[in-house]
Amino acid sequence: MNVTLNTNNFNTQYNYRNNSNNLRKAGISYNQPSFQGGVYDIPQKSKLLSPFKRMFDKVTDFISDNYTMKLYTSKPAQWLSNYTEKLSSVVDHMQVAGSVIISGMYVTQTLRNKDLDEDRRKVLGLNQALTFAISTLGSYVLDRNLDNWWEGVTARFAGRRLGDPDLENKIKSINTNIIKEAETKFGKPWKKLSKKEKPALTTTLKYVENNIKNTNLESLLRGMGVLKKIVVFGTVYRFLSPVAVTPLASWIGNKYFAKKPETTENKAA
Amino acid sequence: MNIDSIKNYPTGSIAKHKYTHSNVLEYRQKSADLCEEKSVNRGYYSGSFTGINMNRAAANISAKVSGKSSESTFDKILKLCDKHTVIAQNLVALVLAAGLRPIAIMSLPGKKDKEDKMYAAGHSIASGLIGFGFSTIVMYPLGQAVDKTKGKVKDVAKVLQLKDKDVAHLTQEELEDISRIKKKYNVEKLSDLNELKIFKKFKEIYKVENLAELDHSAAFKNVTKIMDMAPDVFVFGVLKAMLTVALIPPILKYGFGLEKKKKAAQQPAEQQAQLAAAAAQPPSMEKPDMTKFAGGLK
Repeated sequence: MNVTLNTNNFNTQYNYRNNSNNLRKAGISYNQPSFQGGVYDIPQKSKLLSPFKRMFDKVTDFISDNYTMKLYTSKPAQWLSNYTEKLSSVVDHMQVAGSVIISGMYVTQTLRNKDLDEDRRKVLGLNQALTFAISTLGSYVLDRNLDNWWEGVTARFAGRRLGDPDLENKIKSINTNIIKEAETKFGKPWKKLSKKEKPALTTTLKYVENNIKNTNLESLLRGMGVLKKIVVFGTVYRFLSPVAVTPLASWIGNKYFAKKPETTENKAA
Repeated sequence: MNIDSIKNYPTGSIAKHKYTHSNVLEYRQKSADLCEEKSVNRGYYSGSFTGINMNRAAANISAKVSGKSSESTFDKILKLCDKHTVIAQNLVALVLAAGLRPIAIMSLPGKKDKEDKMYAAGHSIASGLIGFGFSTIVMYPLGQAVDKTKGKVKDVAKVLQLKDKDVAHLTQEELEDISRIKKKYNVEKLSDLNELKIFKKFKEIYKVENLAELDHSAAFKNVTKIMDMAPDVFVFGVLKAMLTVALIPPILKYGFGLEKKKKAAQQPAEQQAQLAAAAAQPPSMEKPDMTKFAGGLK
């Protein structure tokens, strides 16, 4: 018979029968810890993910040193810099470029689809191309029409952040002076000036960049510009285009381009 | 009776009284753990919690947290738009493609078959999810790398602005920055940084006189945006479209309870073909399988 003698006594009173004399002899002093209140250091972030964060940091450092830093100073970047220095933004054009690729892929797939009749393929392909064209045009028109309103919103936003409610009017008066100078210089009203003759107007972002340097506001204002473009182009491409433009393009395609096969079929019949 | 072994379980008092608490929450947690621990002598370990000073705690917490929470959600969205344009763009697309568009498709009256509508909604949801998921996973590190590169140039620009200042007037932090940058780029004087090839190229390509102006250069801003968005647009666009097509069936199955009907439609045809083939064969004289069963254990 195996017998195990368990010397452990779970009676806490037995184990910790520490009267003050015994403790004093052992040189141990137990002070009652008392919590008096007060917050000394509140943990903000968990350290659980820190190895992953460190690894991520190293990866992004590597990409930064070996890819982006080199790309910024490469020949394609120089070429892009020359071509984009006069553009106010490229976010809209990049979204259009993305749409060109995806729409192009769908059109090519449709035209190569052997399950469809040749005429049907053409009509469907044309519908897809028309959808892209109408959506792109609509996006640019909508974006341009919202420019002035959004600039006002941005100015009011910046004014609130800077505690300067008059900022919008300041920028407006600067622009009024620029317009007046240009009109007197060329002897024509502003609307009749050509693109080359029109001087660049001051935007809220430019004003902040030139007059209120090294603030967090610059990033927010740049974000405002991007936000408008991604909302406008996103809404048109992702919502209006499939819901409203596709039926319109189908109607145009069927009305003007699907007639021929019908007539030839009729003739053949 | 023989005793084979004596086991002495360490009851080891885990109640160490001189904790080096880094914070009060940890302290409270440990105190709470001790209360849970039945083996701890409550006799002498009777830490008294005299209550948290709510005013002080509230003030401390607000001071700690307010630095970050003062940034509103709108500010965060704007920063996302500026620094990670692709993710912001795909976030907008997610809201539209996985939220508004399916609702619009399903609620629109039309002659279209209901299943067609479901397919269109499924496609929309798939494209929204793939776009956002993919951009977040793949494009976020690239966006961070672009941001780091900008930060590195900014660091150098910041230090270069100090080169004309008297050393005696520089703060400890500024001196540390200077020595860090000198060590990093292996230069003796700060003015040598201007002679480094990489920074010369930055000034030449983006047409700025000093690196501090780089952030305001329209060309730099546009090239940054192109670099940020180009991989998503030109490289991953088609891949995302392919993944979207692959994600449609599970979304239709689990989201709309719709499964491909191709197989179901094929079954009767296959059965008919089998029946026809069976009918074409001469009747077999072989015994049915059941009769081959001998039975018994081998």
